[in-house]
Amino acid sequence: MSLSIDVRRRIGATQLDVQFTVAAGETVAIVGPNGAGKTSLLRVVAGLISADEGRISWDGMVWDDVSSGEFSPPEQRPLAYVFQDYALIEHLTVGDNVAFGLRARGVRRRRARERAQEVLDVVGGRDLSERMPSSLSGGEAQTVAIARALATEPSVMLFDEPFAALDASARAHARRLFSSMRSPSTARLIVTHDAVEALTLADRIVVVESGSVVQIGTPSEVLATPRSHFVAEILGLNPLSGQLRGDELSLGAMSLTVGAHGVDDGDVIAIVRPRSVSLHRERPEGSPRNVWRTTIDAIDRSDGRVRVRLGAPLPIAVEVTPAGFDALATEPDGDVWASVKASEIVVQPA
Amino acid sequence: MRPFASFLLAGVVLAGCGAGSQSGGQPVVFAASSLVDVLSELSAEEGTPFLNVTLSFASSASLAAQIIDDAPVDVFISADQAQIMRLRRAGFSDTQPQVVARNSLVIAVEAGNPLGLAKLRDLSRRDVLVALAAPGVPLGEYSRGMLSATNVEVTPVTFEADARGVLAKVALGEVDAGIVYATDAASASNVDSVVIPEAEAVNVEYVALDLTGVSGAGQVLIEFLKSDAGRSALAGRGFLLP
Amino acid sequence: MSRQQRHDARVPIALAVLGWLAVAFFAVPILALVIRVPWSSLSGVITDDATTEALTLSVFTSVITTVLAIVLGVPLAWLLARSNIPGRRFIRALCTLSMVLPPVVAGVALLASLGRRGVVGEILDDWFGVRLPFTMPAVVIAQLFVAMPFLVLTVESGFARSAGTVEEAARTLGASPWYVFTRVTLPATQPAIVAGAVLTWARALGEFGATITFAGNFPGTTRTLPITTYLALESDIDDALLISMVMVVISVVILVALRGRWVGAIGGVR
Repeated sequence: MSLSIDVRRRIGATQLDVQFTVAAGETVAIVGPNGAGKTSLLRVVAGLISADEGRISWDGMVWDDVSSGEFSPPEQRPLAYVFQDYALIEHLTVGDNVAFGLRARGVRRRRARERAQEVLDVVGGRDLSERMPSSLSGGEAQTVAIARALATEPSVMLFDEPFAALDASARAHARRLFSSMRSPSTARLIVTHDAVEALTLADRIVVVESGSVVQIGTPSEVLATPRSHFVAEILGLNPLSGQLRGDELSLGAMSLTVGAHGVDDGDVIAIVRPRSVSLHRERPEGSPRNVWRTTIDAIDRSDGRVRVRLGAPLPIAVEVTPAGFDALATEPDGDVWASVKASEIVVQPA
Repeated sequence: MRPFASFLLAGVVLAGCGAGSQSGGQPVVFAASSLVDVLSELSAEEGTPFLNVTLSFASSASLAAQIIDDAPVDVFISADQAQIMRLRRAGFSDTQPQVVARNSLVIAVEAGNPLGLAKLRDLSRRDVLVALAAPGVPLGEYSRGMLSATNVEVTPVTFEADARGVLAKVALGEVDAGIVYATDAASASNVDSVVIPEAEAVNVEYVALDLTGVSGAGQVLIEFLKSDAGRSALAGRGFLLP
Repeated sequence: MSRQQRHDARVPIALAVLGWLAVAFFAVPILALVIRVPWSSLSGVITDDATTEALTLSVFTSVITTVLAIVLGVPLAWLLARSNIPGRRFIRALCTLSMVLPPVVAGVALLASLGRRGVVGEILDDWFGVRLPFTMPAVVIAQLFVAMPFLVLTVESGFARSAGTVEEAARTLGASPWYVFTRVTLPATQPAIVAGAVLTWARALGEFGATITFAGNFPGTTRTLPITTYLALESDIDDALLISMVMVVISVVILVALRGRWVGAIGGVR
C-alpha cells in the first residue's frame, strides 16, 4: 500500500510540481525554505485544495485525478491532518475533540469516548480529557491534536510543522512521541523547514525549493550528495558519520559524549551545529565533557560573522562572533581548544 | 407610480414641517394638516399678509402640545375644538377663537370608482374594504360620529393615523374606500370623491386662535382669512365657508 | 474603588469625558421620560384591554420575526461570508437596504410588491385568495423586512471571523460539510447569532412606519404597541407616556437579563 502523489498546481507566484510516493509504514519529510509550497502540497494531498494537474491515490483508490475529474473530498479520505496551530475545537473538551472524528463517522457516543480515552492514554494525555482547549499549554495542545488524529486510525497522517511552536523541552518530548507512533500500516508525511528535524525523524526526505523537487533520498543519501542550496546549508551543520554505543559516539579519530537520544546503538549520523561549538585559548575548566585540542585551518569573515574551519582530529565548521574570535588572538595554524556540550549533539540512525 | 410619489412627497413635506418655528421677524402660523395646500399657496403670493409667513403643519394635537411647550407661535388654526379649549384653559390666549373655514366629509374611492360606491351604506358591504382615521384624531372622531348618527355599521380593515394615511391606502388600491375631508380628496390624484348627504349634518370647523395678544399680528392674519380674498382662496381649494 | 483598581484601569481623560457625555446623551431622555410619567395612573393603563392587547401582539410578532430572521438570515449570512457567488457586495447592499430606507418607504415597497395590487400580491390574491395587508402576518413581514439586516450583518461578520483551520481540521477528521456547519461553525458563531437576534428583536418591537403602512392598524390584529403610543400622542399625552414606559420596562428587563453576553459579541470580543 502506498500513497502516490503527482501534483502540479499554481500557488501565487510559485508553480508547485511534485512527484513521489510514500509507502505504508514509512515516514517522509518534506523540507525546504519557507514559501517553497510545502504546506500547499500537504493541503492538496488532504483535499482541502485541488490540483491543477496530476493524480493522488492511496492503495489504488483515487483521491484526486484531474484528467478524469474524479475528486474525493477530505472527509472521504482515510487520512488525518495535524495543523500547525493544532486547530482544536474551542467549545469542546479535550475528550470530545479527540472523539470528534469518530462521532463524525457515526460511532456511538459512549464507544467514541472510550476510544478517545484509550488514545489519550497512549500519547500520555490521560488527565487531559475534561480540560478545555484554551487552558492547555502548547505541548499539551499538540499532544491532543495528535491524539485526535490517531483516534480515527487513519491510513495516511499529514503533519504541518508540528513542532515549530514548542519550546525545547516540549519539542524533545513531542519528537519522541512522534517516533514511537510509527505503524506499519500508516504512511506519514511531515512538512518542516527545520532540516535537522527532517534528518532525525524521517525515513526519506523530499527537498522542495520554489515548488519543485530538488532531491529525494534517505537522510544519508541527501547529505552525501547534496543537490541544492538548502541541503548545502544543512551541510554547514556538520553532519558526521559514526558509531554510537550508549552515550558514546565514536567518530574515527576521536569520541564525543552525547546527551539523551533514544537511538539504538549502531551506525548513526550526528549533527554538530557550528554555533554550538566554543573556542578557547587555554583548556577550559568546567562542565563541557567534550573538549579537544585542534588547529584552525581556515577563517572566513563575511556578513559580520566569523566562520572557522577546524583541522584534525575533527574537521568541522565553527561559527563565532568577531569579538569572540579576536579575543582568542591566535595565528593561523595556531593551536586552539574546542568544546561542545553533550546535549547540543543530535544523533539519528544512519 | 403617481400615487406613490404623491404619498412620499406628502410624507416628506409633513416630516420637514414638523419641526419648531422661528422667533421674532416673520409671523409664525401653526395649522392643521388639511390646510397645507391653501396656506402654502397664500404664503407665496404677493399682496397678502401671509407672504413669507412661517408655516408649520401637523396634527392639531401635536401642534397644541408644542405651543404648550412654549413654541413661539402667532396663530394656531385647529381642526379640533378641544385643542383650542385646552390652550385657553392653560392661559395661552384670552381672545375669542374664530371659525375661518369649514370642511365636509366625503367617501374617497379609487379613480373611476370601479366598485360603483354611491351611498354611505355601501361601506357596510362585506366585499368592500374600508379605511378610517383612528379614533382620537379629529377626522376619526368626525367619521365615527357620522356613522353612528346614521346607524351605518362599518368595520374598517385599518385605522390610519391621519387623512393622508387613509388617502394613501385608497390611492394605492389597498382598500376600496375611506372617509376623508373633501379638500384632501380633491387635492389627491388617483382618487375620486363620492359626496354623501349624511355629511351635511357633520360640522367640521377650523378654528383660529390669536396667540399674539392685543398687538395684533395674529389678528391681521385671521382677518385676512375671513376677508373676500381669503375666502376665495379657501373656496378654491374646496373648503366650505363659515 | 481601591487604589490598585484605580491605577490599573487608567482611562485616557479624553475618552472618559466623551464616554460619559455619551452616557448622559442616552440617560437624560430616558430619565426625563421616567420623571414625566404620571405613575399614579400606571395601573389603569396597564390593565386597560387595549394596552394589553397591543403589548401581546407586539411581543408575539416580534418574537416570530426574530425566529424567522434567524431561519432566513443565518443562511444568507453564510452565503455572504463564505461562498464564491459573484456580486456578493451587491447582494449584501440589496439585503441591507431596508435598514437605510425610511420605514414608511419600506412599507410602501411592501405594498407595491405584496399589496392587493402588488406585483406578487396580485398573483397571491387572484390564484390563492391570499391577502396580506391588514393581517397579523403582514406585521411580521414588515418587521422582518426592516429588522433582519441587523442579524445578517452581525452573523456575517461572525462567520467571516470563524473561518479557518478548525473547520478544515473537522473535515479531515471525516465530518461532512453539514456536520462541520452544525457542530463546529454554529457553536463558534453562537455569540454573533445571539447578538444579531437581540438587535433584530429590539428593532422589530419598536417598528412603526413600515407596519402601519403595510399592515395598517386594527385592534387585536395589527395594532402594535408603538402604533398605540403614536396614536395616544394625538389624544392623551399621559397615556402615551405610560405606554412608552411599558415598552421601556420590557426592553430593560430583556437587555439586563442578557447582560454582557451579547454586547461584547457584536464587536467580536467574547
